Amino acid sequence: MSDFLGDITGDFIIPIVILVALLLAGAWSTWLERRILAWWQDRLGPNRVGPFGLLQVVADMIKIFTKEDWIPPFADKVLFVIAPMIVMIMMMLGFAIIPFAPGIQIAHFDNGLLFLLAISSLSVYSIMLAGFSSNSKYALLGAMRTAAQMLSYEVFMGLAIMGIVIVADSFSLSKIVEAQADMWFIIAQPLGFFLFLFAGIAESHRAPFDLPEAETEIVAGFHTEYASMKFGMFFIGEYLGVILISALITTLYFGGWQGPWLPPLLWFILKTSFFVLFFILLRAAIPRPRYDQLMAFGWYILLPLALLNLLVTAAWQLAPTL
Amino acid sequence: MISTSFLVYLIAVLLLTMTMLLVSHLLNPKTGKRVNKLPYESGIVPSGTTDIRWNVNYFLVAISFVIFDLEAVFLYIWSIVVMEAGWQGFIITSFFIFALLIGLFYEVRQGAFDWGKKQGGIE
Repeated sequence: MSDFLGDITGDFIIPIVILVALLLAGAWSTWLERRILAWWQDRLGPNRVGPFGLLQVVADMIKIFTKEDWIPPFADKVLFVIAPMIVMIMMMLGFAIIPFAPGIQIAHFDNGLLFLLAISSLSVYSIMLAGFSSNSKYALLGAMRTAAQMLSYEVFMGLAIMGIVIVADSFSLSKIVEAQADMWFIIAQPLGFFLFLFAGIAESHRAPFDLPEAETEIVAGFHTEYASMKFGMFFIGEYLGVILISALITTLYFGGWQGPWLPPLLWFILKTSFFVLFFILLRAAIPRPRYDQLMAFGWYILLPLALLNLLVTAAWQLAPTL
Repeated sequence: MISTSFLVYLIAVLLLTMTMLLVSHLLNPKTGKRVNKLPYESGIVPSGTTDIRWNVNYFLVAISFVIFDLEAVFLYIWSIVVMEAGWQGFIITSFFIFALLIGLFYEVRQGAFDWGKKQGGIE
């Protein structure tokens, strides 16, 4: 009987609870960003609806659900509807392999990191499809920019993570967390951490690398023609992406759920929130580079560094066998 | 390999996204009074088609992505067997990586990533 209950908890309740928690976190991080950004910019931000403006998210949700569900007559209708679904599904699936705490993990893949890289590659499709199906120039320009940017930064995102794989000798995220019991991998892989951070910002196309939706140049980029909940899904997808990258930084470089005194889940949430705040700070603090600067930075500097980081890490691991 | 919990999660995510679109479709106010059925171009009447010419750099980035991502896939495999492959594997891999770095250097010298420079025109 207790086995049966345990199966029900592990197989059904945990995934659903994680899903709901992620949705709430994604929704309220929009509120968090607006409040904190306002605070750093010496403004008030949304503070009218509910205590501290906390219910602003609910108001936005009601508004966005009751907006006209416009599918442009000039658009490719099927792809236009599918594109925002892909971004949300891919971002949500990315969380399946993250070990939130010992035992709280949806999928125990041995090759979790490879699954993650595949998921992050697939999310490019949503943006490409959104841009091409919109049949609008701003959307198309934004989509092409995003595709080129994400492809460029994806190459060394994988290479940066491979430094971790060499040190931990596993693709499994839970094994990587356990390998950090004595020492966080930020100490073993400082260069890899910065490479992954840059790649993560570019992959989730957040400021300062938000060229795909640079308002001053291409209006809203790939989602120019989107309205209603379909726009909202791109929005939630973006914030889920920020949380996913923060959770990954925590898991790969900052010991995941490991920490003294407090329960593991709380440690994980604290560390992840710290990096979410860091992402918001980046948006408040750093101006956007030009597009050619972004591409040059990726190909000229970060890619060779990622390759050299891999070689140096391997040599360091092999050194005792000399 | 694929656990029940992952399947439950996958189905829940699919259902969630579909429900979100469905609810927004049901709550959609059907005005039908829309005058402008044209793509957004900053409030002016759009001109031309989306069938525009692209900078050749996009193509070069795509090619470079194929080259370097394939390289990365080989390195993924190597990175899990670094200890087993030993120093011999390390020397072979560093040869491989340096060959590709030379390739990257060649591409850079050819100006593959010089975005925005006018080719053959006035600088």
